[in-house]
Amino acid sequence: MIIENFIESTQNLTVPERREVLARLLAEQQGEEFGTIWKSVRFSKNLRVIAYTPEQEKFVEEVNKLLQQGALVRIENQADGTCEIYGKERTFYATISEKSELVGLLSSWSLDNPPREINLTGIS
Amino acid sequence: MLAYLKNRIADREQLSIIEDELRSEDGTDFLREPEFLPYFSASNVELVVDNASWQLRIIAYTNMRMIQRGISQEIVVDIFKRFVEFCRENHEIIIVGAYTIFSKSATQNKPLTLRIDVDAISDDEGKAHTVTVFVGSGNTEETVFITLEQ
Repeated sequence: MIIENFIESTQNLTVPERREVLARLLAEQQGEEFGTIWKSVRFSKNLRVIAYTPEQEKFVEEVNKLLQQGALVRIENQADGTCEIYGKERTFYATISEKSELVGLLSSWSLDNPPREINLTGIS
Repeated sequence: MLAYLKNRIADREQLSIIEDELRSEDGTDFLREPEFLPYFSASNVELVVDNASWQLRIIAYTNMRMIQRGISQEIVVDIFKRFVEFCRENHEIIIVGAYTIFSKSATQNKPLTLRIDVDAISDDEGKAHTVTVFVGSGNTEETVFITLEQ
């Protein structure tokens, strides 16, 4: 009931804003119940974090530390390994290979400034 | 992808090693490795939309995914132009930050998501706006669609 109330209270947020909030507050299992794919990951010291854009280089250490401690991720595309990694105050968009312990950072944003979504599918 | 690599890699032995990697069980993981990306070049595309100059930066990783999926630069540029026009028509000011653009490629009529970072906007100085382009979930069969609506 508490969770339902909590989710209800986020109804006025945009979908990306809700993800930013819910990802940090809902447990993995609860997230799955709402049709999302959330997963907790944790890597060893063998983890390689690489910035695939120069803008992300300053976050390499932070992501390395975060993922060795364990973090929640939302899978976007399983074939590409693309996902959002939820840090304490920043979310990272990356391609992850769990098997080879590789994370390629593509983009990131602060908790209060999630990606704006534009839908052009119905527009020719 | 292999056709592209055959044109890029003259060393037959090296090409054979890469082909084996791509065909292996871990082929999808190999695509994400940084040592694979030098075979793909980054590019900058300059375009003018609504009298504003835009500079799209397509990083090597994105270029690799575009080649993998047969997505041409023209398709990406077309979606970006539609995005700018959509924002203008809906009085939405484009600001620095990340955008997710859900679209369809006009030629392939397949869902295509562009994720972009608007890195800088500097109208006053007359400089180009700079945008980094990433290709998001392009294959619906392999894509997990996220919905938080109950």
